[in-house]
Amino acid sequence: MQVASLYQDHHLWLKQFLYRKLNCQAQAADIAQDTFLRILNKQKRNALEQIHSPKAYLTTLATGLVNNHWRRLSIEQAYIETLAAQPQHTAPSPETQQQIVDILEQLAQVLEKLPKREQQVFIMARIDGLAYKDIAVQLQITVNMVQKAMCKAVLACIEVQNQ
Amino acid sequence: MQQDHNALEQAIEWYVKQETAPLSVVQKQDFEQWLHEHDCHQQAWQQVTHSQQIFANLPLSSQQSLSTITKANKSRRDMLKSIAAFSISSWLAWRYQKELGISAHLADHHAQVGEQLQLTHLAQARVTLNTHSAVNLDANRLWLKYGEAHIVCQMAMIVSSPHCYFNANSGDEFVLFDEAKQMRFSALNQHFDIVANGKHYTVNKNHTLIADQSGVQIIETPRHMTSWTKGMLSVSQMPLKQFIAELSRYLHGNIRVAPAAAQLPISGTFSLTDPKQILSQILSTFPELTLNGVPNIWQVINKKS
Repeated sequence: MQVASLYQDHHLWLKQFLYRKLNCQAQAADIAQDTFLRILNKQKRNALEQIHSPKAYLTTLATGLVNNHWRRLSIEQAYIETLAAQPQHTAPSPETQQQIVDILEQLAQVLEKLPKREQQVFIMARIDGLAYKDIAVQLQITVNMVQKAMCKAVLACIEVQNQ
Repeated sequence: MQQDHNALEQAIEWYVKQETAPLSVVQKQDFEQWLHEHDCHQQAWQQVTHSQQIFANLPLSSQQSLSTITKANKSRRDMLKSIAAFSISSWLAWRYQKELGISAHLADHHAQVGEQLQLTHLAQARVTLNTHSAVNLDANRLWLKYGEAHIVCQMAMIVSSPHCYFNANSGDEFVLFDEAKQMRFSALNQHFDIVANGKHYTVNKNHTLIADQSGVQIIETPRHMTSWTKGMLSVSQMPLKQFIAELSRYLHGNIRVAPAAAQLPISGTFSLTDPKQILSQILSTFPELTLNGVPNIWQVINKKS
């Protein structure tokens, strides 16, 4: 219920707000849609908080999405450069490339949520595939600290995926 | 809400515990009990395993991943710079250890396109990687990052791939295939209980579970799905289009089959030592077929009109 009225009252205004940020009608419309989709998904998961100030709420959410959009574009660009720098290598299919950009985007968001130590532990465990005890040795910390860091990192992953 | 959050925290703790070291018998029982206590525990567990398996799909080194993200972030933040620098050095150190064999049990294993790689020196399992495949192994866990592997376990372990996970015991033998569009699991020596796309399935001996966009099905294992473990591609009455799809896994580039030729039935056993040879064999057996395009990049098989 709440979402339907929110949409009716604020959709046009939000689109204009986004157009001023993005300078592109189509993208503004897309991101406005995404903003309401996010709210719908939150409602489905029963995670929608009471909205006191709809305008502030929508601007915050939409600004986050615009940032995601820029992040995505810049990661895509950087990934193409990484690919180009690889010596004589068969490029992955466009589908796989999209998948990789998806994962990199998630990774970037997860790392942003974590303090430096947790970032290091997570990268070593997940991307390098190191065992906890070896991470502990390399970082000169206890296995227990590695575990705690991983707990935080896994929670951050879930938060990013639930957005 | 609170209950869900607690379940999630507990699931994360179990996940991290399992990654630290193999669970003892008592811990395993505790885990099973916890898992089946509530539906929300199972949901939380799936959410946690899924959230981590995504990263197993990343075919980039930490150095490449971080330098890409850093480059992307440069205009926005400087945050990752220091950790990228750190990680490059640790990555080099790790590679170096790998060369020396110090951390051989941690190593990534890759098979290139067209290559089949037998890993006979591992303590955990005998693994044969099929073309374009990669696995990560640690003490009690085997991850198929992508591609296909024939595995004979030599100890109890958790096996996972982007779309599936299960527990395996010593002596268990199976073939696991996981690519973007399809996941397959063939049980070879006995029945297995596995979780595919988040749901539980039992796969009987000599049967294969296939999961793709259209859903999940379990069928008697067709010969071609396991014949590669003997270095052969063995098919009977397979439509050309499907045959070429199988074959192109072993070749660089893309090979398309025009609709006019798609249904031509192919039977026979072909040696995978030289996959290109198989393509020429097919073309000489069926003179009505033509092959056009750029080898190793983009080719089309059509029927002469």
